[in-house]
Amino acid sequence: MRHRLLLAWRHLLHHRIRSGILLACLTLSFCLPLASHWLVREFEHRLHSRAHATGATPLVIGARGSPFDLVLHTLNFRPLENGVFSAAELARLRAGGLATPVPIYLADYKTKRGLSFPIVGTTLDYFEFRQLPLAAGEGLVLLGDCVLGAHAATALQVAPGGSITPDPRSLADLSSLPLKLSVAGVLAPTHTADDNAIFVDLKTAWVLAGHGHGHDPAARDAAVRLSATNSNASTNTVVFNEALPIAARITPDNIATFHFHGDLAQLPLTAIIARPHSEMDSVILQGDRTYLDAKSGLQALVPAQVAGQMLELVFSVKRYVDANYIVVAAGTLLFLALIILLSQRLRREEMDTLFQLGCSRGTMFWLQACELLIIIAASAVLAAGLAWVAASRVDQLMRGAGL
Amino acid sequence: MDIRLQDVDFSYAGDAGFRLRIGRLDIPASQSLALTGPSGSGKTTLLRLLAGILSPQHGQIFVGDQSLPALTDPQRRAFRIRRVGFVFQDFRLLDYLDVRENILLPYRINDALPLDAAVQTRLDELAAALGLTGRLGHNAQALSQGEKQRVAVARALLPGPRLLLADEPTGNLDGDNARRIMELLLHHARAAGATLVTATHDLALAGRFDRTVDFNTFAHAA
Repeated sequence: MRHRLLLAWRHLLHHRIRSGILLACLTLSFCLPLASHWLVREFEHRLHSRAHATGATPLVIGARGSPFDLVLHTLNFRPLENGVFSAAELARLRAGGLATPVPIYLADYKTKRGLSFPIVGTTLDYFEFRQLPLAAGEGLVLLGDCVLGAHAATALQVAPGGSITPDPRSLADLSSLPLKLSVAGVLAPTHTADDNAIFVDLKTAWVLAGHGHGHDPAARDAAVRLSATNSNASTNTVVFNEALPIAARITPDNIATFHFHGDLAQLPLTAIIARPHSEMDSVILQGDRTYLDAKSGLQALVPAQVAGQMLELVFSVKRYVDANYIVVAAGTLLFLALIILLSQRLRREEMDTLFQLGCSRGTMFWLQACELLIIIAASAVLAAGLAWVAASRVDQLMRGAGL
Repeated sequence: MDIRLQDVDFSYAGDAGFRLRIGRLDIPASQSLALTGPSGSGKTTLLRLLAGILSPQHGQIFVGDQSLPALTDPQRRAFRIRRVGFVFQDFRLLDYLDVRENILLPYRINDALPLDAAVQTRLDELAAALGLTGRLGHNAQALSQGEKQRVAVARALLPGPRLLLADEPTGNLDGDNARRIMELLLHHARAAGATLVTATHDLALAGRFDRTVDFNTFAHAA
């Protein structure tokens, strides 16, 4: 067998281009169906883990539009176009007493080396709801603090005590100075979208979005103290002094100068996670006329149901893609058969020589079979290598898909 | 190894235009025999019959004490591996192998020929004798015509065959190379005590053999 393999290897090396084409065809034929199957499985896992499993999201409230987009935004912080609604809904839910609302406002990002980390404005309720443990530092305490997901902290190379500056909205935006955020803590890995997020207090998110600002210490006496908690946001006093320079970072010296212009209840949210106190409360909330009436501009969704619909769609696409793979695989096999057939003709003299030198038909078969086996084995190794590369980048791929 | 053919009658299946008939031909052991005659007269067919590649429809072919027509295909193959060395007009070297591997080819494709250190030593000696020492690592494609045929001769001689068959071995060579190759074949066949049967058009070269058989008169091919 060693001799057959050696001859087969020499033959493949001599015909590099033909071998390379064959190798590429088989590698793709092996790799693509495996990779797509694996990615869909990961997609399903990630979607289900947020929608169904422990810490599942019972109800999501947001602006009317694509249910898929709203659920992906809420569960995985995927960007949402034209999906803002006023924070008054948060107050209405709190007043209704049917559920504990957890607000989400996402408008800013920090990017590094092509990776984008969403800056998620929320309240401490979110950490309690998701049961997110801290790996280092502490939770959100002051305006301007942020808590990073495990992957975000690693990728941005920051630790508690450090700072990050969100990216400007656009190069043309010269009206505001990006607010530097102090890193208060880093979360333990959860293998969910939380790992890639930068969490800030809702008011900090509003400041980042330009709905409020502070001034330098010289304006301290004219400033308004903002509550570090979210419960008494309505007590903020509106102060405005255009002559003072806008602060680029919230510090103990200037924190009191931070303020919002206008009614806090009219500031934007992009989603609310509602945690009904009971099944009955959930049913009542879903039946709330506000969410059923198209004119209200709001909708209430059960993420598990939407995720199920989404997966159904994904699986139907996958079935179509799988059918394509079967056609591609059949095409590759035909291509392989053609190569073998042509090879038989081209190598007729060679095989005749081998026969006259005493080579058996079986050995001649094995010589050519060894060539195929080497190509198939090399393809399998290459396909596994590509799958490994895909696996090592699955997180990035999933985040690219909004998961 | 002496050879005896008697009342041999052979035709190719599906080719009614060719038929080779040989009444009797005896070739004593270690003799060198040149087969001459026009193309299509049956010289190559006779070589293939002697190698056991073809089997006659009628008649007997004895090589040593072995009747070739009585052997099964695997037995004839085993006979060919152990007893016969074949040199082709167009060299039949594999372009994806270097010179050393081309010479070792019979060992690579036949489990009956064990490739050991002694074979490697013999290969080096043979390469030196044929002037190929410096070319062993070269690809067969890079050789001159004369060198290619010397490699083919080395490949045929390495297993130490008792019967050496050469089909127009100088047909693609110029005069000097042709003479040199023929001398090498004769020399090594005599040195090894092997029977040499060569088909050739070159009557001058045929004159160097112990005996010449002219297919114009000897065999009947129609």
